[in-house]
Amino acid sequence: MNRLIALASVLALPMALSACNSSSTPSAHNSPSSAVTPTPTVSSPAPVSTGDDKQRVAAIQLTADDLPSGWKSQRITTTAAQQTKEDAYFDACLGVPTIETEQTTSSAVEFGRADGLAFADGLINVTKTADEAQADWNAFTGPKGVDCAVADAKKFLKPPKGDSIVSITGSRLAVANGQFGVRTVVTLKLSGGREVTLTSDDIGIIAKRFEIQVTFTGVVQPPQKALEDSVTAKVFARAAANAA
Amino acid sequence: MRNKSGPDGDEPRDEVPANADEHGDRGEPPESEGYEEHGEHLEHEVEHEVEHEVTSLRRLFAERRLSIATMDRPLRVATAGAVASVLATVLLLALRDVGSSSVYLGRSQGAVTQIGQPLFIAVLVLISLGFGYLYTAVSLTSLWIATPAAVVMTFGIGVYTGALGGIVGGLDIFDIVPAWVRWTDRAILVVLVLLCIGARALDHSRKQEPRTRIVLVVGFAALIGAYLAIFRIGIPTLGGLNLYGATIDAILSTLVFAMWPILQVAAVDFGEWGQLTGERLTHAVARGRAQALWVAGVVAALAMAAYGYFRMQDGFGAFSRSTLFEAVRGISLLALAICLIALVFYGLRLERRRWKTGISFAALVGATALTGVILPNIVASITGAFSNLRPAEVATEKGEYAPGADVLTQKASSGPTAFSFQVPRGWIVHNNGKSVQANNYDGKGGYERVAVLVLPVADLPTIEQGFAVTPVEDASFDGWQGTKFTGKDETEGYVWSRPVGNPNASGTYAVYEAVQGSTFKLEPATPLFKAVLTSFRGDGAAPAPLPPPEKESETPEALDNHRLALNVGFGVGLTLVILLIGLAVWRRWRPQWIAAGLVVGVVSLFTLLYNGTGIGTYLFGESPHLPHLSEYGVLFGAGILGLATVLVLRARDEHGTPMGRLVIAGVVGIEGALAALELMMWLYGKALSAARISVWAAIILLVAVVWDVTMSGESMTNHGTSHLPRATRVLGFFGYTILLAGTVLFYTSEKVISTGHAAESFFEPEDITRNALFRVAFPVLLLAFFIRLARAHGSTVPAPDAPEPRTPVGAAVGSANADSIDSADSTLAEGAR
Repeated sequence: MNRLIALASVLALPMALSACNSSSTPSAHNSPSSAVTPTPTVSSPAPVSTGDDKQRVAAIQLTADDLPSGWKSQRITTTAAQQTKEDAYFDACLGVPTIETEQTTSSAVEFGRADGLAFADGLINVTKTADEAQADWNAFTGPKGVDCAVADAKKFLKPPKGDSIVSITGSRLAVANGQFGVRTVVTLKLSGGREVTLTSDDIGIIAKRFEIQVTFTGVVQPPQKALEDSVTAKVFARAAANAA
Repeated sequence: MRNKSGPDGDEPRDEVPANADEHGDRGEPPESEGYEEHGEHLEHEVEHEVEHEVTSLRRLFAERRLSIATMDRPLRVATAGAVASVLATVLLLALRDVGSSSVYLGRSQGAVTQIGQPLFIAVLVLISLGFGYLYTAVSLTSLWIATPAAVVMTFGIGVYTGALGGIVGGLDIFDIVPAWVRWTDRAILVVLVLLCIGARALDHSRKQEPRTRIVLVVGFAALIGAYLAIFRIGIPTLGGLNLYGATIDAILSTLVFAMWPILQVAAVDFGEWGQLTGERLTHAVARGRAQALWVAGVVAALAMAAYGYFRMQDGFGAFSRSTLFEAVRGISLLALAICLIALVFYGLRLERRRWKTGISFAALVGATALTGVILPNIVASITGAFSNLRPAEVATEKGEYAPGADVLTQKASSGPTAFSFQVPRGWIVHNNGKSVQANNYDGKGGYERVAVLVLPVADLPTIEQGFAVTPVEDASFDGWQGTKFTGKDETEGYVWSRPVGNPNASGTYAVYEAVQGSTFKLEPATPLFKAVLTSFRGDGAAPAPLPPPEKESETPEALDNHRLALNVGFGVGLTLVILLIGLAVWRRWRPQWIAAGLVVGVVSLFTLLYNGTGIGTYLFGESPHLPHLSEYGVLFGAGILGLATVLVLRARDEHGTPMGRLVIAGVVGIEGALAALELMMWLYGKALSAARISVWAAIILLVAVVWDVTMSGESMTNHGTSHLPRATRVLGFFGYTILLAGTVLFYTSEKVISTGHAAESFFEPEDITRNALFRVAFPVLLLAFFIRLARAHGSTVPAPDAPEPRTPVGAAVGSANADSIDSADSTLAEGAR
């Protein structure tokens, strides 16, 4: 799993249609620095000004409380080895150091809607310095960002047995200033001949050394815009308050 | 302008005017009197005209008012009922916003409207009562009047309520009511006619005949009320559509045409009373002194000229070119108009006709009906105003409901998946709380159908399978993904889907839209289907607002000018025909027919002057640019021309002669009339500029109508003939007044459903009166001034072709005594009734 694009849901497409599972493996490192600060749209919780990066990450990370009722935490199935492989591929594509070499800590969570057709993932990587985070951000928001995300998906996405991938496309999402968003749409052809789309919206910010990303994935239907706006506003507000 | 003869000129009957005893004989000269005796009578008449100045307004009022004292008890009760109805209407106007439940009225003036239920019921009561009076009035006339009148009224009610649609064609609402309603109501119509015709026999068969009149009023009102009530019970509501309110609207919108003339005559009343007030005030000041009289004339004329000029220069500058041009134009055009009237009047030797009275009420009503209703409708018909009528557009090509579209909001589901959308009113809706299906049936097995529901998360192919349709072509619209399909039984349409967007829920909204049968085709139905999607609101959001009212479309200026030119042309032509018949073909025509023709002529003339520029552009193009007469130009011109008249008389030392005094009094009267017209113009302008027709504007109108009724005694309601007995006149006039009150109440209480604001009324009574102030009232008062001069100067000398005058019905047969009331009505428009 790359650092900024949580392809976990996309990679879990086959499972989404059956077991509705996805995975995400974080990598970590830390470093203090200033960074782009998102514009929070909701009131911030009480800031955590002390403590180590793990505590800060815990304070920022997506929780079930950020989501509507009916969403539940899910187990992440991607192995560390798989994740490292993906990260290396993606970071190389972007032309930045592999995240494992510069992070202090990382955290990944995943939640699924009751009907098994929508997912929300939270991924936080903390770099050692703000410059590293900024460099990652610059690379990802640069011209290669979307292409690398699509290439990553094409390389690592494995459809369930009998199904096939028809297409994978990517595009930028219209998001608020200070944020970056990528939409990846995967069209799968199921064994019965029916085609299904899986749409994954990755929305991220950096706050000093913290690279925060929330990914929404929808099977059949694209993720709900209102949900994206609501959840990212909460998470990014906490990031602004807690990142150091 | 009150006539002492009945409008129909029937022979007098047994009833006597209330003030007959106190009126002396007018002293009309014998028919044998020749021109050689003209001088003596001229002197007498002029003195007679001048003497009116000593008569008070109070006495004039006493002369003209409706006499309650001479009524029998049933008529008094009927009068009380009419007064109570009008008073109740005034009160209801103040309470028009009370009541939450409303009655749907349909589309009116580009908006879907409704009215509060209490007011609607009040309107129904007034309609019933008004027709009760009218039927009773008709029933008391002679058989040859009662029969056709009853048939025509009943036929009108039957046609406009759809009772006769299945029989004579046209509106056929009775096809959708149960059979018992259909035949019961038709039976009531038959009973109405039979009772109307038979009541006369009943009325004459009893010695205590008056008592039956009240019974008849109540009986007829009850029958009409029962007719309307049964119709209401029987008419169904389909898909939120109930045509009852629209049917009542149709009846009233037709009655509006009957209201038009009297509303214009009300404008003449305003001017006349301003004229009277001016004359009386002048008399009070002058007290018979010639010197004071001409000074008063100068002051009145100067004041009017100054006011007119002040208003003209407002915003342009006192000595700007446009102001000076308008001032010169006002004087010139008004002088031209007066010269033309004088030319026709004296050129045709009309001053030698036997102008026993002024312009009668009947002549005025007839002329205003011609110029205000009949000619404009003929012109509108000729110019295609009715041929272009078409059903209102429901949806635009863009796929939105058109402004003013009559739609209803349907809601289903709940919480975060709650949704709503709009379908045209009248579609049959099945709503089970989770899904909605709306159908528009053609009655031949065909339909337009819209079904909306919320499903679990599903993609379009799944939904297509669910609806068992075969996709033909992908489509998308306004955030909806869809497919065009064909289905079984030649069904074709669209299936649309859209995810639930509320974060607290999941699912898919699915919309099925299809047409089937030969009546409905997919392509024409597509804008409507898209409008359904546009109006859709999901995710628990509030329903979309109803379509706003349609913006009032303006008639193209060229078409306006075209119609104006035709109106003027027809008016002038009609005047020529009337004068030709009256002066050359049928010489025994009553002068009132000539007067009616002249009124049509002067109204047409002033219409031409007020719209000279537009009509000139229509006739000749942009060049030459013809001038037009403005409102303030009239005021200024009347002031200057009046001033010139008085000064000329003074210079020729004729201001003290009887004729000089008469002319000066006339000038003062005209200035007073203009002041009154301008005051009413201002008042009505204030009322009309309000966002909603103000209560007081409607009240002013009703007061004006009550005033007309009150002042109808001398001319109409204090006497009768064998064909039109007094009871018929009183009850008929009251019935008319009650119907007018009901119409005013109805149209001033109408609200637009989508905005809750007052509707742009189909019927704006104050606008009708206001438009008549300078276009009708002023020229009529000018014409009446010439008739007054003629009466003073030459009417005593019968023209060779003048007919033998009949004794005016109910006329105040007074003497030539200077202080007689008969001599008092020397207003510019004496005898309008």
